[in-house]
Amino acid sequence: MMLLTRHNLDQWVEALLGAGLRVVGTTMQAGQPVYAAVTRPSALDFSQVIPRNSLKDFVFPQTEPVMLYSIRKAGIEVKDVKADGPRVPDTVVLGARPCDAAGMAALQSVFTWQGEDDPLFLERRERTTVVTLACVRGDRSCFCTSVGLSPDASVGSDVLLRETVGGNFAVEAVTDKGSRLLACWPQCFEQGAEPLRPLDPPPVIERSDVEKILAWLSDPSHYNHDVWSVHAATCLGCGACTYVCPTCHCFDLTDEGSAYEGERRKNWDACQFDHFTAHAGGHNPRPLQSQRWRNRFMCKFHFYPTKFSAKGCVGCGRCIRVCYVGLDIAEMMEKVTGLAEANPSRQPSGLSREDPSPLKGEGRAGVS
Amino acid sequence: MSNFEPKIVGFVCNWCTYAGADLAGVARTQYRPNVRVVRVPCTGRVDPLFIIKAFENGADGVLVSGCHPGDCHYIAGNLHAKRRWMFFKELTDFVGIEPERIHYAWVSASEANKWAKLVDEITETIRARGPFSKYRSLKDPSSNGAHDTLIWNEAWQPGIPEEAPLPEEAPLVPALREKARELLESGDVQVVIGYGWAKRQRRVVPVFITRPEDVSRLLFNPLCVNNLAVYLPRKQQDVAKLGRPAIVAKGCDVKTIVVLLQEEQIARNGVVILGVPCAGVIYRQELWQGKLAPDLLAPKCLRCDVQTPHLADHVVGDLPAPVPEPHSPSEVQRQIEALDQRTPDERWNFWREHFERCIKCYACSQVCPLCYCDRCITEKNNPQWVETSAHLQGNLSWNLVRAIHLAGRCTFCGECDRVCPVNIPLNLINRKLGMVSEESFGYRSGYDEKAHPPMVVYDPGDKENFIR
Repeated sequence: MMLLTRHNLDQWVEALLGAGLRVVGTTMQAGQPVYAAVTRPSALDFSQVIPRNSLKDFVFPQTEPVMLYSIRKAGIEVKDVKADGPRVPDTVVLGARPCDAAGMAALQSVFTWQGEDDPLFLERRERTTVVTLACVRGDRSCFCTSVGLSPDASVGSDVLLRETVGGNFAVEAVTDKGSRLLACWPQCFEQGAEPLRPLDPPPVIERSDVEKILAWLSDPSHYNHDVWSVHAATCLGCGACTYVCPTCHCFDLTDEGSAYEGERRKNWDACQFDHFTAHAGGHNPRPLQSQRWRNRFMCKFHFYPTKFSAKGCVGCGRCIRVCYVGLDIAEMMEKVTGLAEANPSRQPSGLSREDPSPLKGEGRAGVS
Repeated sequence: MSNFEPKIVGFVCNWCTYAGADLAGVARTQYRPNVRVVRVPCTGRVDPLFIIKAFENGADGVLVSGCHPGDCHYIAGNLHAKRRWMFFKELTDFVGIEPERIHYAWVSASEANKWAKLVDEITETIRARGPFSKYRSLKDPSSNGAHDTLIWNEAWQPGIPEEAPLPEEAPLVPALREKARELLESGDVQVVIGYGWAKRQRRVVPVFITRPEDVSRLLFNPLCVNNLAVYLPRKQQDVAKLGRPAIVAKGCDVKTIVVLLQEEQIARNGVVILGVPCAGVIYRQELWQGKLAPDLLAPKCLRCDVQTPHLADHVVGDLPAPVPEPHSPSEVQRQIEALDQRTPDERWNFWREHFERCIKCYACSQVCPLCYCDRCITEKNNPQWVETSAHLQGNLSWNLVRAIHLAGRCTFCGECDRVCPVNIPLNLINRKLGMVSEESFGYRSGYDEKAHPPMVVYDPGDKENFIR
């Protein structure tokens, strides 16, 4: 196997930084783990379970200009934001969590849906190489094993690292892009064999089955089931779950500036906000917060798998960690599975069992 | 700087100051041309957001002027406006906007000379201050918040630590469950809003009990920090659908209920208040180590004067042991006083650093029981009053709007401060305006549901010394 020693890791980070790349990894800020760009190898912390923000911050920022406009007597002028040259730095994410890498893949399936490519997302994604580090431990909120992933899943990763008992890393290139990245610094990697550190996967949520959930959700008669209003009534609609979620991708376009010039910006939006579905005429098709909560759950376990053939939920557990009133998506997974078992519905309409590929159009992940 | 001409926006009332300015023009009085006049029906029409918006659009100063007290065309619009200014002035001072930037005045229709003199004076005052570049620089893209400066709040692992023993239940719990069962069985209420253990986590969460057989889920212990009153306003349609509620309320939560009653968001007979005497709650459940130490208390518990709820249909149990003596009884006040001692620029930089981190998630407004508008000003986009992007200028506008909308109403439950994912000390601003309310109007929010909050009434005797 190919090995990256601790010593060489630092050298590699120095080399990446020296080559002008942006290196993103888990850092500690005010005592909290956060994915952020680093300027020196020692800032990276590989011992944390999971950072607070997800990797979507780096491919789908919270605020991003999409065009510039000015309105003059002579007419309206629209300017491409990219006119001033590339703004997106080439980035290596070092030590991504497998769930976050899978989240990248999920975002990609949305932003390239049916050939409708989002150039801003794609440019960032293509300039980003994801080096994932398999997890050796999880916490009480982790549940990747319940959504078909694992602590060493490679979905969405370009390179997968696994810790060895000697404190080094076994290196595996997952995509061509990953191989190319490794090939640039061959001196940092050596051949060797070391036993891997055992992984400690989070316990599978008892009595939870995404296939059964999908089947139950596919039945329209369950749309107004009591389970939603009972489970989700305490939701306050703060939207924190969507902000930290690696796969939530909704955004709003807004013009900001004066009457004469300004920017059109793409800002994160959230299905948990009451005005998310508000119509101009005043009607709101989802007037209740429990319905908005249902929407997020259905998005993860029904809309995503049927529409994008991708994982809507990667089991990172961030929504459980941030929820102010302790709403727990895993509890709902248990509940819905129980309902599905009690009342077997028709066959799942979405993800077919023959096609386990979580990423439609995976070929796009390569560097152009 | 010598050729700097200040841009000043003047919001003047149609009936007095506008007429006074007109008279100055008719009389060919010479005065500085720096004030751009915006005519409004009454100074009562001037939302503090107008002033913020003027600065956002490049004003170096703002003048608000209307009829003298007693002369208002609408009887008392100017006196209501004055109360608003009393709060807003303290707020802008507190975030470090120099007092020379915002001027308030009374100018009648006959006071052309006063108008001319006023404009000359404030123009020179603002000229001496120079361009308001510190406000304009907020627009600078480089000022947009970066992740490098985030300070996340420490609540990342939910619930109490694995190794910590569970808290003892308060002795009042059997009585609480019994009362809840009685209310549900008699059909007096259809839902009891209370606290219970989460199903999968070691964590106390809000629970809605709708069946008498479920009352054993109800509990009360030092982890019950959430303010459940947030579920009472009409906005919470999911809860309203369940039927008439009973709510488990600590004294501090009752304060919020009092404000909701004052503002007619709930009817007194629309809710059954199950008051629980409280010996203090923990600031965050994650900090629990087995017992409630003074330094773990929520700030609202320090100097608590409502350990036994002051308004309730049923008070369950007896007064518990008093709150443990805190280390620093007035930590928030001390911080406010320390900030007040600093220069405007130092205060500005203090808040700039905090607001820089704001990610505009609006969680502070969602958890606030008193932020119940159907449509928030932040959702209005034609025109757009508060920009939705997370950048400093919009962040400041949002935080000023939030603060002024809570002035004289906030009961300092601290939920906004606890929920903020990037640890902006929102309690400081709320408390500051609470101090203004107490000093200027002798009013403390949340004690008497029959009292009139300061922003809905006026008194001709309100202080005038900041008005020209």
